[in-house]
Amino acid sequence: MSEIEDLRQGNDTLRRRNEKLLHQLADAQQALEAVARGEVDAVTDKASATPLLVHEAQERLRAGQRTAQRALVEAEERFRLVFEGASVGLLMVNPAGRIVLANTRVETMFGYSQEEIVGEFIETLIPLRFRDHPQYREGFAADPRGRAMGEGKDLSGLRKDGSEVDIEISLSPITTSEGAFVLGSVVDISERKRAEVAQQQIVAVVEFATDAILTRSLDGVVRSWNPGATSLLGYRADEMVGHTADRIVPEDRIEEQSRALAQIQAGKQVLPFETVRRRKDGSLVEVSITYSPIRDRHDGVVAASIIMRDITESNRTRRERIRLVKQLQDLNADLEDRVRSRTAELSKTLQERESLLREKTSLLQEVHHRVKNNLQMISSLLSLQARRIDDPETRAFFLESQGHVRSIALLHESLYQSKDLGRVDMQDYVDKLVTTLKRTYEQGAHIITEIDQVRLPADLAVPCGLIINELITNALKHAFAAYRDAGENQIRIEIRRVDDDLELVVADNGTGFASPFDPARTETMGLTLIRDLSAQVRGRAEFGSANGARCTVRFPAPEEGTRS
Amino acid sequence: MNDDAKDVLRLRLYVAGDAPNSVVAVAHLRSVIEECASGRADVEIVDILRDPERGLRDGVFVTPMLVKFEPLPERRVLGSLGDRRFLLAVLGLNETPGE
Repeated sequence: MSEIEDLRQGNDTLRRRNEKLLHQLADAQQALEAVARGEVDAVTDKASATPLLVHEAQERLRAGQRTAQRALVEAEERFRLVFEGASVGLLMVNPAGRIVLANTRVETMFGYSQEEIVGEFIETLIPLRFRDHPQYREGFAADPRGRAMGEGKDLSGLRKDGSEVDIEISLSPITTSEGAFVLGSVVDISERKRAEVAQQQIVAVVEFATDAILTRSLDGVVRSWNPGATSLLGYRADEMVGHTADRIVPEDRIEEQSRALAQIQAGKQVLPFETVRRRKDGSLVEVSITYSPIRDRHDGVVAASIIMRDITESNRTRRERIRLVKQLQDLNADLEDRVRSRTAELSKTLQERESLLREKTSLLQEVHHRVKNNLQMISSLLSLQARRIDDPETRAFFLESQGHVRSIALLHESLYQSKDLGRVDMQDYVDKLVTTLKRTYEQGAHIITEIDQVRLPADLAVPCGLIINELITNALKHAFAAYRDAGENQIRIEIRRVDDDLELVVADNGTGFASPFDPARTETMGLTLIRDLSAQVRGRAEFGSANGARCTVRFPAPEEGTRS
Repeated sequence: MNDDAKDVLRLRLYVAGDAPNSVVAVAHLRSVIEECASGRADVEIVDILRDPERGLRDGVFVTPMLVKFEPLPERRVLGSLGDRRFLLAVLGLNETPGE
């Protein structure tokens, strides 16, 4: 009975417990859903017994988020300002070696726009010969700490236009959740390089200058002293630098130096002037000195540069030169005087000579003219005489003589008409002779002259003229048979140069000399004359009889040039 | 059962001041009591912002929370009490009290 009751009670207890558990489960389920729907207003912290209002917390959270957001934006903005406003070029390179950020300095330094360069490999900005850079970059990644890139070597950047720019790069590692980035800062050092080169040049100029170059600060202390100064003044740099420069200024030049330094202090250059300085050994040296102000970057005068040149030698040289120049001038003046008087003398003599020459010329012309006139008169007298003589042989003699005289008269005519009074143009003379002879004799003949350009002095021209006269007269008188038509008769006169000789030829196509004819033995007047005349010109006459008579006289040609 | 239903409901609603879910929960509870348990409910509303200790004593850490102490079993409903059917079931009430 009680057992059953116990069982029933136990069963009820179990059922109630089960029910309770089911209710608890349902409540828990509902609570979860309510929480999920956000229907919770407050949560009480068990330890502090403080209720925490959920929506307030949410509000605070949202506000916090907004603040954080704003801070982020501001931080980004600040970063951008710093990045863009940096005085150096800044480049951010990602772990793959690509540029992810570049500022405007980089743009101007390399000539790329930011859009162009972002995304490119960093090597784009490096000349080929420096492109061992990828290894360098890996090395950097393995040991990332800030350092200057390419330490100890001159780095160049490659610009978009292919030109290069001297740069210096320092790298800083930036570790992010995306890996190790590198921030490179790039400085354009072209200006500095140029300045360095200029500086070196100036140093070299000062070092090797033979002039003394020194600087002294305004308090009078020597700051630099070049080797030129040492050789000019004897003091070494270590004896002078840091000490006052007064030692080198002689007492009587202190005033002058003070004036110059005052000028310098006022910022003015002092033009070179000549003065005297004292050497270490006490001797004085003449110098040309120039003071120039040295300014700091604010344009204030801080020191004076002094350049001195030894002019002892040049002064001596100058004095010597002045003396020499004076001497030269005197000599020159003297010479000019002499030249002037000599020139006057000479021109006077020349004038006299010229007038004498003119006188002589006209005199000669006069002489030739008169000789010709007289000879013509003789020729006319002979002609007149001949006409009165009945004996034909005697008359022929007279006429022959007249021919001789006439040929000499013609020569004188040619002489006074020629420009060169001393010589006769043979062509001209022979033409005249032939014309006259043709007029004299009835017997006609065709006379051909072939005469080289030859001018003979009167002493040769006269015998030649007489030879031609004789031979042509002979030919016209004897060579041609009366039955022949005059048109077939021909006489040739030739004068030509043969080596150093002249050859005179007179030939006809007539009957030739009477055979047997031995000119050497023949003592006729004509032939004798020809032989004598040939001898006068130091020549020899030869006779031939093939196809008519032929006479050749060969004689040495006279020397060219004027002969009185 | 009906007699049980006629038992007095002893309820306590823990709220957090006039926080939104708490206000809504009060309204929902009030309407359910007025409509389905008029006159037989003893409802106490506790503001844990003013009296945090009471919530802690009753083991209530999260509000708004309705606790039905009587009749047993004790039941707890979290939130703004918008699920009317669930609320009625928890409170052991029917939709039409007039019957």
